[in-house]
Amino acid sequence: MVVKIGLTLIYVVITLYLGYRGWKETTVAKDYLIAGRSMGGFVMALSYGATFISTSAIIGFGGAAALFGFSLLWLTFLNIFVGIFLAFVFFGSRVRRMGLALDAHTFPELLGRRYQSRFLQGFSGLVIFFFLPIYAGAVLIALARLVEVYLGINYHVALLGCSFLVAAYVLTGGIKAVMYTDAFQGCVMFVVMAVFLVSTYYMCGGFIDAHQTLTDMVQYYPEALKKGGMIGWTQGATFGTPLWLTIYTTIVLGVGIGVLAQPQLAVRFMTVKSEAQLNRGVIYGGIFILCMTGVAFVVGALSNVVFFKEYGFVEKVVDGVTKKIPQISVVVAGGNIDKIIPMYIEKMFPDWFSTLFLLAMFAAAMSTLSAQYHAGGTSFGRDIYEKFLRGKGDTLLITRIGVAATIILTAIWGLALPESIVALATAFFFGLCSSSFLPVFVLGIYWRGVTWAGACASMVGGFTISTLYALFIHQKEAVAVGLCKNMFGVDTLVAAYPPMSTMWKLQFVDQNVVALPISFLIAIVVSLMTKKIDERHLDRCWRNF
Amino acid sequence: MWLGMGSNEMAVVYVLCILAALWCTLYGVFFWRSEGKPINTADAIDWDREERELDKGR
Repeated sequence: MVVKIGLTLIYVVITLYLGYRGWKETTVAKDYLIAGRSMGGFVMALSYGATFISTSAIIGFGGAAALFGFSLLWLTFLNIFVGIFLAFVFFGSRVRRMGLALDAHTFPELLGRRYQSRFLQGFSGLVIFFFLPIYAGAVLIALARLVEVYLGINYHVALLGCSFLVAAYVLTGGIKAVMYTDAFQGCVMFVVMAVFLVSTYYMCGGFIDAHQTLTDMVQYYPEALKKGGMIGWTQGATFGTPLWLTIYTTIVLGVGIGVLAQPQLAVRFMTVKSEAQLNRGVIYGGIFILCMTGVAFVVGALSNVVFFKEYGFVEKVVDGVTKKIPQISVVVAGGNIDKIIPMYIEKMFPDWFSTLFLLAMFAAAMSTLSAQYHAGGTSFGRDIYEKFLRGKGDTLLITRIGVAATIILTAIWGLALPESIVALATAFFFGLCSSSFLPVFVLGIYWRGVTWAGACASMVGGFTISTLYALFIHQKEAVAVGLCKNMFGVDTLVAAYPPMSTMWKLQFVDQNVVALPISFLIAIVVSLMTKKIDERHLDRCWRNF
Repeated sequence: MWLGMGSNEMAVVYVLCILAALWCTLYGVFFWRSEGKPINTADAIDWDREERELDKGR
């Protein structure tokens, strides 16, 4: 316990010191909002990566990999290729250049000035301010649960304590404090995950042997998953089956593509001091993400091998018959996939590593949470109050009030939401951002022809379709919220269709697959039919391309 | 099967993840000093006034 408390204190002190450094370097609103456009590639890329990867990506999705196996690596591939390479090279550079041309300080402000629309800035700000705290609340729940288990502190005290700790440096130091602490937290996560991977391969008997053993264990693969369309951990899923749709649309496409339109990530492109820093960030970001989700998914899948090697079979009497139950991960964790990684750490690793791993999970949660507080606060202060409502006052002070409001909203959601909401809230927010922002954002930096009306129709349309689809069609959200059941007496509007029909399968298809193409289509069709934006303004937007 | 995997798809995605990180590294090294086209910072624009005029126009 002394070691645990000591290491935690060192971690907290370093975090607070970096927050203090951020505060000392923050004098004007530009510092608070976009770090004075002075960040280096290393800090920016690690901050981007650490914000992107929360505890749920490692514990939640790592546990999911213990069920779905290596097929989740498609998400890692998309995270690196789309979330880092395409995002930095094809989006980051243009966002930075247009941001400078339009003197934009937030993601909604970039959209608002690109389309000369106060409505777009305000609407984006409202979506971020009201929905980001749900996602942040889920991250806060995960963080508070860790503190409760790790340090034995009461859950509600932990929840409020974590809120105050992160609030202390976000409120005072703004994005500089957020990015400095993110970079430190990213380093902690990187080292721990690297040790995690090497140790797991060592316990499995080596690189190829580990995979081969898992391949040979296909006979022990859970029958329930086979019925859903899975073949095995290293064999993947059968095309078009419900589990194939869940893996490839919700997890891979939903989260993999959804990252492109995350406001708390996109704003980081405007914080770097030069294009070269963005190029350098591609190196750090690519390696960092491989070491995060890549390691979590590989270790999650291989945990089956380690558990089976350690425990083999356990005899159980089922319906009067003695059966040998193979001790794979999901069995050891009692069917709760969120417990697989924590149990794997607890049972297979020494105490010193479990302490370090938990610190890395603190780091993952705090880095995501701090960026969410900042993005929500700047949306409230800058985009809603100052621009949309035309409020007057000191930008720095108003933004800090906005951050405080986001922190309070997040704490309320944290207290109100159920514990099992983490993965669901993450996927919902990613989906909402993609459908609402991605077409307006991508077309805005690449196509001069998109009009104000096209952008507004796309954003409102994408938001509406995505929300309705989540509430009435997509099984996970619809069942969790329960609105469909209350209104129509069924879990989803397509649940009554014949099983395995196209309509029935829609309940497993992520909202992005439907809402995102429609949102793009709306933007293009309406733009082709409506009044073009003034050429002089477009020249101003494009002046740095 | 490759790499001890049970399907080619899983082996391919495993290798793709490593290649993607390697590609990012090579890209970053190759363009380490590349600054691209020079930047023109924003003119001193009164955005509030401009936005008000646009609102009236609509």
